[in-house]
Amino acid sequence: MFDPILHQAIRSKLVSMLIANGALPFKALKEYLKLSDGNLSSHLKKLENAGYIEIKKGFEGKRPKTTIYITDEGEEAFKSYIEELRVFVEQN
Amino acid sequence: MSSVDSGMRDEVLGHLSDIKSVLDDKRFFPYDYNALIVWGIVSILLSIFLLPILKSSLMLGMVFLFAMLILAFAIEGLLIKKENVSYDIERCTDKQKFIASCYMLASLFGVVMTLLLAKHELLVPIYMIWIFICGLGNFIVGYTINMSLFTKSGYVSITISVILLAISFGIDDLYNIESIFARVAQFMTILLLGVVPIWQALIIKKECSVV
Repeated sequence: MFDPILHQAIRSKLVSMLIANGALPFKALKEYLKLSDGNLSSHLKKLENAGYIEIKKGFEGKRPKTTIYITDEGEEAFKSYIEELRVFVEQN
Repeated sequence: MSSVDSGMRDEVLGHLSDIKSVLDDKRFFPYDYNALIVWGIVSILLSIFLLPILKSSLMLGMVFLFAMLILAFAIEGLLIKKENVSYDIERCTDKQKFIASCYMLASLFGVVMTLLLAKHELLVPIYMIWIFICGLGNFIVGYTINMSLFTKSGYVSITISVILLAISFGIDDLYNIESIFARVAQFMTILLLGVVPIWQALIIKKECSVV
C-alpha cells in the first residue's frame, strides 16, 4: 500500500533528516538515530538500492568519511509517501 | 472503522508524528550551549563597563567592545567546531552559517551605532540598540531552528527596547549614565542579554541531558 522502503520507522526518520539537511555524514546520522554502524548501513543500503540516496565515500585528511546525499528521486518519493499517509489519515 | 483499520491509522499517525518530530527537531542543530553562557557573561561585563569606558574615552570603549565581541565569537566558534567534530561535520551546517552571519552582521551594525551614539553623547540609547539587535537575533534563531524559547525572548527584547527608546524621547540628558532611566535601561540589558541567555542555556542543557 505504502512505499515499503520508506514505510519503516528508522528509514522514514533517516530520509526526513536528509530532506531537512540536504546531506549528512554517516556519523551524524548514526549519533542522531542512535544506531549501530551495521544497522545504519543496512538501512542505507536499502535506500541506496531504491535510488533514494547516494553514498559518497572519501577522505578528510587521512580519515575516511562517508557522506549521505538525498537524490531527486528520493525527495520525490518522500513527498509522495507523505501525501499517501495524509490521504490515508483523511479517509480513515 | 474496523480494528485493523484503526490499528493501521494509529501506525500511520505514528509515522507522521515521527517524521514531523525529525523535521522540527531542535536537537539536530549542533551547538554547544555553553557558548550561550559565555555570551551571557560577556553581555553582563559589557552592560556594566562599556558605557563608563566610552564616557572616559571613545577609543578605549571601542577597543573594549571589539575585544569582548571577538573573544565571545572566538570561544563560540571553538565550541561549535568541537561539537561538529563529534558529528563528523567538516566545517559547519547551512543553519550554523546563516545564524553566525546574522549575528556577525548585527554585531557590526551594533558597533557602528555604538560609535555614532557615543560620539554624539547619546550613551543611554546604546543599551536599547543592543537589546534590539540581540532580540532580533534571538527571533531569527528561534524561527530558524524552531525553538520557541528563543522566539519568545526575541519578542520580549524587541518590545522592551522599543518601549525604552520611546521613553527616552522624554529624557533630556541621555549622556548621564547615573540617572534612574539609565539604571533601568542597564538593568534590562543585564537581564535580557546576560541572565536570560544563561537561563536558556541551562534549560536546554537540562532538556538534552534528559533526552
